[in-house]
Amino acid sequence: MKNMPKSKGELVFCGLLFALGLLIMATSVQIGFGKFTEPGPGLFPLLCGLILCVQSMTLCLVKQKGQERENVLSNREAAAKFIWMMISFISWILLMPVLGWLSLTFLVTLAVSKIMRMRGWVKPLLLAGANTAFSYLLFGFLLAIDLPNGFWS
Amino acid sequence: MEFDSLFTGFATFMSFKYILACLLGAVLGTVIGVLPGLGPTTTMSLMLPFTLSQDATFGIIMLTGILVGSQYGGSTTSILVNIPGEAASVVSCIDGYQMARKGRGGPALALVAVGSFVAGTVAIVGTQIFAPLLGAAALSFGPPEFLALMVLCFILLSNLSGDSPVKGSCMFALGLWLSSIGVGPLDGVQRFSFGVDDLMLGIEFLPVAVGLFGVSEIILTSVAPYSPPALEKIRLRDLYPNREEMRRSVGPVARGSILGFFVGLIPGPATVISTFLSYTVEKRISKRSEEFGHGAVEGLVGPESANNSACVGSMIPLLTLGIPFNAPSAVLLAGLLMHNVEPGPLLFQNSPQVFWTYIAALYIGNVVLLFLNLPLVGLFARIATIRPMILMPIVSTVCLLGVYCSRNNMFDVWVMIIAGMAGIFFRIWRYPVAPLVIGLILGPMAENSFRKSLLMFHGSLWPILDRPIALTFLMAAGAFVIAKIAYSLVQKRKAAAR
Repeated sequence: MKNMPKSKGELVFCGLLFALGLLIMATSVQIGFGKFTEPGPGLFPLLCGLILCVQSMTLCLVKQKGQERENVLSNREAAAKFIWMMISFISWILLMPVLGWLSLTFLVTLAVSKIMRMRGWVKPLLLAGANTAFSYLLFGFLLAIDLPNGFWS
Repeated sequence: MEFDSLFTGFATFMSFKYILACLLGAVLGTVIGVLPGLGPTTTMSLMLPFTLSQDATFGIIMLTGILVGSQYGGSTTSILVNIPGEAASVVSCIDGYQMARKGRGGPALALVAVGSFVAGTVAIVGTQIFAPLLGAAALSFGPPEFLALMVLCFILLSNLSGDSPVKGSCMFALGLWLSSIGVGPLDGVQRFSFGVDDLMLGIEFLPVAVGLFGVSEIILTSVAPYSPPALEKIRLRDLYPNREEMRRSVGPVARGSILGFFVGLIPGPATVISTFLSYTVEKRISKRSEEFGHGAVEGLVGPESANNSACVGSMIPLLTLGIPFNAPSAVLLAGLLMHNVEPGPLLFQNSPQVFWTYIAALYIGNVVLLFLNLPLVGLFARIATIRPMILMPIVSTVCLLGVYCSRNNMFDVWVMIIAGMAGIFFRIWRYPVAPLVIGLILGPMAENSFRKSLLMFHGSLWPILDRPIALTFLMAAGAFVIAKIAYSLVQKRKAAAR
């Protein structure tokens, strides 16, 4: 264990938490915290915002004790994987009304397996097909959930 | 003990669907325990939407099966490949792996399975005795008592989760605030919805939990380098321990069972804390303390018994007070609330069948897990070698579809993705996520008890100190803070002396 200086990223993160705390407090005041004899709906969130502000400020100012942990997103390949993963998930939401859930389950499985460096195309396609079949069996057949079918409907 | 109620619980349990729920939960839990990364909280969160198509008893049996099963499974890879399946099995790597290297991997697995079974049974008996008593006592709790209990939770969870109490309290406060989004509990005022329709209904527990635990795990696994573990083959005939190993295991199992049960009653990651405590106790009282770290059987079976016992014991506060003391209990509470079953003092009056069927399920689940784990240990260990590139694409789609299906609402999927992104940075900078999810689920109760206490005492909180139960909780919180400060001062002085 040793005193560890914070990275810039972590400082920004603490700053964001502090800003969020301030925003919560300001909004709570607008909602109205009433009086102690008649507490309003803003009183409890105001306390939460206050704790968040004080503690994030402490984190910004005081050096933390702890074991150093490597930032796994610091190298370019990892950061690219992270971004592609996020794009896959967000595409799932945005394309759902058009492509429907079964096509998207296939595509997301394929995309994630390729992002995770599964070699070739046969194995990823087989995995995507099997997972789509499994998802259909579970969500569509056994649980009979009404999911968006997109243009297939 | 109410034997009639217990027999009714067994009678209710003996139906095809509950036995199926128990088996599914136990198998899934063991598999998840074996797989590094995906923990019981993630899996329980993912399975929540699936339990909604069934009744509350089915849900609680399956989710508890996953939780208890993961404690059994977690030790397998710790012993055989030195990879802890989940946090509570980290200690088992120390002596368990050393035993495997000496060719005693089979007996180590068998002793852990039997020890876990004994500890689980002790904890179930404890739950059966103490939960109704505590539930009856909790009937006298009013808003001030619950408020004092929340203060105790806040202090203990902030300090015991992760390595920085400041970060822990930040996360707890964030969770409490998230719970306040939407309609206020006492006056129906809209808060923090900023005109967004979906926010008016509030932030749901499930997408936040799946995002923080599941999505962040998928992404962090995808960016981390993977090296396949070397696996020793274990057959059924390799499992027999010798007489010396059995004799040395009796004491640690008994001590671990009792210690784990009581640690389970404390807010925080009970299963993890219990293993470290048990290891320390065993090392301190052992006549062979020099063997610890080199394959001492006491250093393996004690902690493994303790984590199973703590896992069952940690359900008592949830069932009797309606307050989850750790992340898996928070998921279980969310599941019960989704089924309109409100755990807490009134559970024993309103839905006693849920409690007694749960106890019956624990007894049977414990036996199922023992018989599942001993002969199939080789198979479960092999699951640990499944590559993340096969597993994670499947988990990704289960996360997306599972969260969408819970309310048929795409907004929840957005919440999950945002929570997942935040979860990655929380993990990188060591912000514990358990206080956030517990804060999110405890928020409405905390706010109600806070505002009602203020109303009761006409704007002052000092009269809380006149109420003995509330005072006890506050004194416990104060004692913990004083002990923590004293401990850090002693450590500083020792460091200065060096």
